[in-house]
Amino acid sequence: MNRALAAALDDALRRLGDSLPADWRRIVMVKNDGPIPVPPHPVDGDPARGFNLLLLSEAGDPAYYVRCRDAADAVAAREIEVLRILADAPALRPHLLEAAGSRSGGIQVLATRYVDGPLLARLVQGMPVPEWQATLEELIDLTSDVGRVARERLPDAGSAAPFDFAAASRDGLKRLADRGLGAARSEALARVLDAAGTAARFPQHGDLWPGNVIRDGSVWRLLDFEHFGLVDAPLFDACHLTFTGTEYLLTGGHGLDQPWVSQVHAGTPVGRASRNVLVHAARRLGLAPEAAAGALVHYLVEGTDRLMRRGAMEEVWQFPFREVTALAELIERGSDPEQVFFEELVRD
Amino acid sequence: MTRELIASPPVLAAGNWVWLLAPAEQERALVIAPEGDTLAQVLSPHFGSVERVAPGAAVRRESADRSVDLVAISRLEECASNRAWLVDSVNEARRVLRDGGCLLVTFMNPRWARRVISGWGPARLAQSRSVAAVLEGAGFSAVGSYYLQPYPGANSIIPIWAPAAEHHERVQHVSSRLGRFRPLVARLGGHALLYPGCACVGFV
Repeated sequence: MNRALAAALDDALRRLGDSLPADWRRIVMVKNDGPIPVPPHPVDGDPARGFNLLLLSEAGDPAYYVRCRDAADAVAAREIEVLRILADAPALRPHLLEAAGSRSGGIQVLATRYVDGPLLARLVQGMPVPEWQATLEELIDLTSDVGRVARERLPDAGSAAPFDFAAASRDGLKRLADRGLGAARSEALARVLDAAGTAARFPQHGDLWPGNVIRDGSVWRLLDFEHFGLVDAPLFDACHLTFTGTEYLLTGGHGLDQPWVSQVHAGTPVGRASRNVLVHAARRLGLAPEAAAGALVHYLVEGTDRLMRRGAMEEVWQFPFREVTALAELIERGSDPEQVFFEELVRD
Repeated sequence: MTRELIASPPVLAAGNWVWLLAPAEQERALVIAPEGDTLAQVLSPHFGSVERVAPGAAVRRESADRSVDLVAISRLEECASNRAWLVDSVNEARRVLRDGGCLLVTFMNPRWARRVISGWGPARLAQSRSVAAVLEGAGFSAVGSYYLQPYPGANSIIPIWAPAAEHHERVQHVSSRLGRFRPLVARLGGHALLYPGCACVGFV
């Protein structure tokens, strides 16, 4: 093995009370996204994103999951620091993976102790709707606690300036309009965003979907802090978890037959539960109904636009794009997202 | 399913294979590969010079002893159909490799289920065990055998070991409706059915 990789891995594992496996059979490369350190003459302009390793015990059980990135990768370096800071909070520690980072030569690694529990993505399939709603609300409470600690302790935990929903969504909305959403629908969504005004920023996980939540005995643990805090739009995590959670509940993640927005509007059992979850999250943040509706529109616009910007395949972005379209059409037909999604807040 | 997906270079294109093999130096690489193979191109950013030679000229008597850092035989099944060619080429690789150098041999997995079902590909294919035995017979050390999973988004390199395959499948979350059964297939010893490519490596 490359000496720098071996040194970084060994150091990280020693911090976790272990050492580098000598047997190559125990190292599985599970994701291989580009050479690191970047070779002197890269073939193309693609960013080198490194690779992930799964380290097995002598008995063949998973022991560690290791992300290996270029030493210059600021996102990876930040994730190591974020996990270190969050793990200092005793109340959060049971909900994070035990992790240690290290670097050597041109490489940095983040080794996390493997938790052999089921992912929420698997547990949620076919779950009774009331249990599904309670699970999502529990996770929203957990991520709120994490966000609160992050706001106090992370040095880059967001600007003090309030979050302006319309300004933050403007470019994305324009791109979606150009990609087929159309001017009229785009304007319908813009009206909701304008009415939303501003709200206090709150650090978000940034990719809270059922594949990033694992059950470990009696507790939930959150995975993948690569983007933690880089998104600070309120309600972003709650919207993402509820939308993707609906998809996993109903189809195991294979795309919804009927748009989520339409199910909420129609008041299907899952739609009503989704609305309850979002109201629960909005209340925790103290959001006014118009701000909550703006946060939902911002999530759908930003989430879809982000996938498109990253070059995701159409089969991936078509589902959130369909949600954006469905919501815009509801507004065009005279429905008010505040009433459809946050009726209880309006009554408050 | 295209032939390009079966071949190993997509996995190697990510570059980390060479990087993990980590020959002591990365000055010179020799790639034995059929026409159209892209492995030499893939390796070029990592070595001072990379030369591709056709399988017919694989035994490069003119290469000096201990002058090469990596020898790669790509798409073994298209290079030759007999063991004698492999034995000869591996022995020659051993001669030209420097101390700390390594040999990489990639080939189609003869047991891959989709190939077997469709009857696709050359009839006679190398088994990883027999390739590894040839490497060990030529004096290579730390010989390892791997599956290559070249699908976009994975590009995985998996040791040929049931637990490695099982946990690779559990982590990789293949989202197709049959994907959920892959960990079980691996656990029950059917891991060879799951992957299109194989590779063996050995060190000097």
